[in-house]
Amino acid sequence: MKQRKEDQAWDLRLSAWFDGEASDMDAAEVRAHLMESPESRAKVQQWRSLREDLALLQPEEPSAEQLFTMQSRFEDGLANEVFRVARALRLWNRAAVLLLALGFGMWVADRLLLSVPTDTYASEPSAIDEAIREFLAAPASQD
Amino acid sequence: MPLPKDQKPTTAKVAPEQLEELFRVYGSKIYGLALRCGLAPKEAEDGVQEVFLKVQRRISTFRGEAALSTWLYQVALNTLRDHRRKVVRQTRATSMSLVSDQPADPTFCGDSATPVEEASISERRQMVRDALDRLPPKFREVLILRELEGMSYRDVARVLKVKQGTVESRIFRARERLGAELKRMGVN
Repeated sequence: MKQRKEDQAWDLRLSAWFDGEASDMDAAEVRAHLMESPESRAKVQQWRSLREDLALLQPEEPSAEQLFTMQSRFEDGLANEVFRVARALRLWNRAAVLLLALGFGMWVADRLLLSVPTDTYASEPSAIDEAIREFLAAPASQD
Repeated sequence: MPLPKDQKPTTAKVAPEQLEELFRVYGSKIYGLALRCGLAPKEAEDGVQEVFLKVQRRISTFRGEAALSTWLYQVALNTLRDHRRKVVRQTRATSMSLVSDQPADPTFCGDSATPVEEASISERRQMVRDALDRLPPKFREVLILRELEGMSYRDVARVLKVKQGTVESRIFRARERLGAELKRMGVN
């Protein structure tokens, strides 16, 4: 178990060294280890071969024409995007104006057209009683 | 209004000229990344467009904590991953050939190689591509960023938003898996 963990640690150090990510001190130790370990040397050889294989997937730089086509497509896409956003903003603006107008209209209607008079007469029972008393107290007409 | 490499935009809104400049500087790199991620040239072009439109939408979220190129690679990798998934789904749905059936690059088909050599290289390239495609995304991506994009462990860690130690072990394990996969396919 301990041996396995040690091997794994060496593998990681070896891999980092292979990628040029090891410190100077680490690199010296790894080189010394490689001198003594044929398994590790085989591993490094295998990684080199893998690197060469992966290099087969390295694409060429796109041609100027290809880049131009891509750039044009991107600019068209960008223009479409800007147009879509602008149109959405315009719609939202219109909706906001409509909502404001509707709200204002309702407020005006509430204030001017649908308002209830504030000075109503005899709206309370006590006021009705008072009016009846005044009526009864008044002298009866002669005719 | 140029936007030099690795510079943080100073305002949340980016002028279209700045985006065009960004495209000019990074367009071919992202196209290359798309091809390395296994997309065919046409799909890679679509992918590049998607990446830059996403960049345009998200540039205001760039805080300048990492280099602009690192942030751009983060956006690109996520977008291309989604794009690739979409293409694979469509390909399966229409029962057409796989994403990378078409060789992504003619790099090793130069004048110096004979037709037989070209065929052999092309076949080997396809096998390596297939083996890479079979790896789980987390292994495939570290290998692409390290071996094909030439990024340092630190940059790979930043792009993938993982610890450097994680990158170290993933690269090791990815190589082991790729080696085993190629062996299984009979590639010496």
